[in-house]
Amino acid sequence: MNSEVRNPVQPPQWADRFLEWFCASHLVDEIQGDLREAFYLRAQKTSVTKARFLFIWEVFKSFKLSSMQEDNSNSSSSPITPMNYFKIAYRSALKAKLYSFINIAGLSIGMACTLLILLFVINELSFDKFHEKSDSIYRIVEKYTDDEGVVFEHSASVQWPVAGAISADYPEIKTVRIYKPFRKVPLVSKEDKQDPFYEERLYVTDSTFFDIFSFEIVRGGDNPLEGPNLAVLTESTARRYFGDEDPIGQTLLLETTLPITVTAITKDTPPNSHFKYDILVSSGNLRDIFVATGNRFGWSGWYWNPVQTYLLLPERLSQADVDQQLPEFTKKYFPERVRPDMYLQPLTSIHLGSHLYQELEVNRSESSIYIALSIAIFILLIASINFINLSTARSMQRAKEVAMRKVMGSSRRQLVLQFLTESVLLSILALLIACGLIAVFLPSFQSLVESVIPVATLLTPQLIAIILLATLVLGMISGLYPAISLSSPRPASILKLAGGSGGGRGGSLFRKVLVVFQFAISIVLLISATVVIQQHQYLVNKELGFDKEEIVMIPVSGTSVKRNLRSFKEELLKNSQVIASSAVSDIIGNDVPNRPFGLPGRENALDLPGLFADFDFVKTFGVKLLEGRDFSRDFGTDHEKFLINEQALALLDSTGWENQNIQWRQPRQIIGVVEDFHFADLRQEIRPLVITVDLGWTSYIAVRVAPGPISETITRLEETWRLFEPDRPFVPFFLNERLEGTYQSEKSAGVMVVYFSILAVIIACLGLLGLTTHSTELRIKEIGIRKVLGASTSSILRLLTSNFAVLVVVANVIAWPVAWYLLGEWLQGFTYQVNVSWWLFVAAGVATLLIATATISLQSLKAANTNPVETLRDE
Amino acid sequence: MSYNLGSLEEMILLIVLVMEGEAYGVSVAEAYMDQTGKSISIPAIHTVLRRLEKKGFIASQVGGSTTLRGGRSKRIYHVTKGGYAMLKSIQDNRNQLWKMVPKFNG
Repeated sequence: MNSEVRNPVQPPQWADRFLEWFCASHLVDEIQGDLREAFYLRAQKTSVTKARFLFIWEVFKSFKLSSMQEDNSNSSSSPITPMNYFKIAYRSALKAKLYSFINIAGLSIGMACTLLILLFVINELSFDKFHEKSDSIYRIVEKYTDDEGVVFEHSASVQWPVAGAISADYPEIKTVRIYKPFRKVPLVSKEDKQDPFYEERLYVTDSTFFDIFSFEIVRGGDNPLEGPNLAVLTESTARRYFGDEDPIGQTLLLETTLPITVTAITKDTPPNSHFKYDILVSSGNLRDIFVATGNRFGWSGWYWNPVQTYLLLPERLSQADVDQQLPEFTKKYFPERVRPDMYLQPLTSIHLGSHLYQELEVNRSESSIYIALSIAIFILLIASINFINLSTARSMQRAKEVAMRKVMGSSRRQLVLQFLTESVLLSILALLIACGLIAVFLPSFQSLVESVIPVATLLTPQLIAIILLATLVLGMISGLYPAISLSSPRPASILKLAGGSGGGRGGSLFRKVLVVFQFAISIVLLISATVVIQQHQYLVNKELGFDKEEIVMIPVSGTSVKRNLRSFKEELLKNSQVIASSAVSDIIGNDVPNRPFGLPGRENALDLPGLFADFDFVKTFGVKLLEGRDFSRDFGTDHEKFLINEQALALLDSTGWENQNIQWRQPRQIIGVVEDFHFADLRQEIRPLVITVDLGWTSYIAVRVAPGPISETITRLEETWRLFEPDRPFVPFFLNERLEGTYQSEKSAGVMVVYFSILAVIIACLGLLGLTTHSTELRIKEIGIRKVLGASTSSILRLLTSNFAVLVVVANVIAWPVAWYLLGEWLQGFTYQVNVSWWLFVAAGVATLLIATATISLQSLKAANTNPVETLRDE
Repeated sequence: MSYNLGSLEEMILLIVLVMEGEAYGVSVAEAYMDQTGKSISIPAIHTVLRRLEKKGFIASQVGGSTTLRGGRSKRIYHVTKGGYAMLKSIQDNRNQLWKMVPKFNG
């Protein structure tokens, strides 16, 4: 209220507010008004100090029961009760169905989006916090840097002995190791070997697992992993194998050979754990497990690093303390040639911050959280702007009602309350609808962001309170502008306003600015969506330097096929559909890890990406051979030769590759150079690569098949597989599909931005529809007169649309540089970036302009086609 | 009309009658001070007005507001028929008595 009076002299605020607080609503106008008036009169006549003093004195004199008692008699003074506000809100909502619909629809869609994203973000932030000791748990990771300072391996997993050595040197630190069977999805079955399952989420771990992590054991004793060949299952895994039988004490077969005994059952892993297990196997007898899972490196001491290692620090040790000790630690234990830099990662930072080699699960990038949050904020902004715009626009039409109320003696407070009640009620209604929308769309949203969102556990009382409060505040803010502008103390001016053409000039400018803002946001989102999708397409379709189509990959680790590779290959080639095949150690196009090779002219072995392949490698993958020849069975000694890529060639000294040897076990001759191809994903540049034949490393057989009906070919391949390995399922996959999966995170980010930008445009257009309806209604008589005077439909259409079209154009001009900048930042994160072309911006602009014009024309056409008789008749 | 009127109440009632249409807290207080030369607080005026309204001598409605009032509207009082009759009967009684008062010479 005080904002109205900007006199330098003011009554003491606190006393004024106190008065307002205790005064009964039907008396406040009289008492407060009189006291204020008296104050100003006295301040003029005598002194301000005296007036102030008297004001306070009189406020206290007014502080008596009779001033506080509300008036229950139905006197003429103020018949407005809360029920009345609701009734009027309901009536005015019904009276303007289109506005109410647009308002509620836009707001509830906006709220649903925002809440979904909010839940997603909260869930992402909650990762691994459910462990009681989550603040003291760390993962130890290592980083290898070569002499030139280039990081060539940054791994989430470390060597087997690290945990033991730490426990030995620092007894108060507890450790646990988690080992995912190497390049191998273990097959698990019951004792009768019926219905086996490939267990992707089987981990081998230490007995300290449950001391450190707080996964909930529902059945079974203490220390369930203490001892050799024991297993802990989750509830659903136990059900999968044993149905309703008691799983405790039952035996499972690991890889059909190693019996393991179930000792405990835990709840299923919470979705907000950075690794999720189905089966935990005790590490009490590693040798058996290595044998069973076909790990031929076994323990491998301080060289091989396949185990995730977690530390539980005692209270007196901090992360920095341990980090400080680690250089000394690595110096003490690691042989010099393989000595890494080690450091600790807080457990709770892993899910959003760690993207290392050998992560147990793909973690989410922090930027996706920021992207999601900013989308949420933008959409909520657009929806609230609709709400504000439509309420103010509509309130102009309600100006007559307001003026009438004032004339009838309605107080400003009542009017403000009326408008606030209406907008708060609308926003609460929208919240309810939004909850319904969330219930409907949660499953699709979950698959969109590829995470399980446990809504029930996330909705704590605090969060619910915050959401309710935010809804109230949103309603208040949206209702505040119309409430204040309309309840201004001069009924006459409001009446004049209502008779005028477009509402207050200030009000309409305000609305225009908001519309521009809305559309600018929508356009930025639209452009971003297109670029994100384009970038994904670019990554998927980029020429990789080899032919990824029509390659079937067959995993062979630990099968009899691996032991009979050459004869299996012979058998395959009898099939006319098979063009060529080669054993490989890694999925080409995904990643090839570093291995130590001795290059000519260098004293020490160099860690280089090293691929192990077989005859016909070049033929199978369609790699371009620049010089030399492919591995071939026609040369008896080719299993001891090397192929290198151009980058590797550059590492050799100037003498060229011919007659040079690379050291792997023994010196092996280089027989050819292939063109650089993307053997790792496109987040990385092409590095030097050496390829040799070493069947012991084989993980997959890559089969190039002829184009054509693929299912028949697969059946034929499976028949061949059965000849060699009747016990195990045949689970091939297509290389191109697997590689597309590599860019899944770009894809899901893209799809998310696409959906939400479409929603943003829809909400913005809903608002525009409301605004045009409003402005056409105001000008309906003007249009009638114009038509009578001979205006054509098209000229009227132009008249009505041009105003808003200009706004969309302005929005474009604002949005383009913003989008340009944001996308530039985002694309910085990629090694290979799609070209963002200028026409994209123009296209987004034209698209929004078209959509907006179409929306506007819906209403304008109707108005332009109306017979002027209809609109002018009543005058 | 069995109500009694105190002298302050009578005075205020008279002022409201005189100021027909413009009587509200502040204006009544000012008129009172002008007429009597005595000061009075606004809450006191409010109390008296409230009491008079309860007795049915005056009625009120919400009136306009001014910037000085910070948007708060006035409550304008006017004298009811009952109030007017009351004042008139008091005045008549007094007139009658006055007529009986011996005239002073000097």
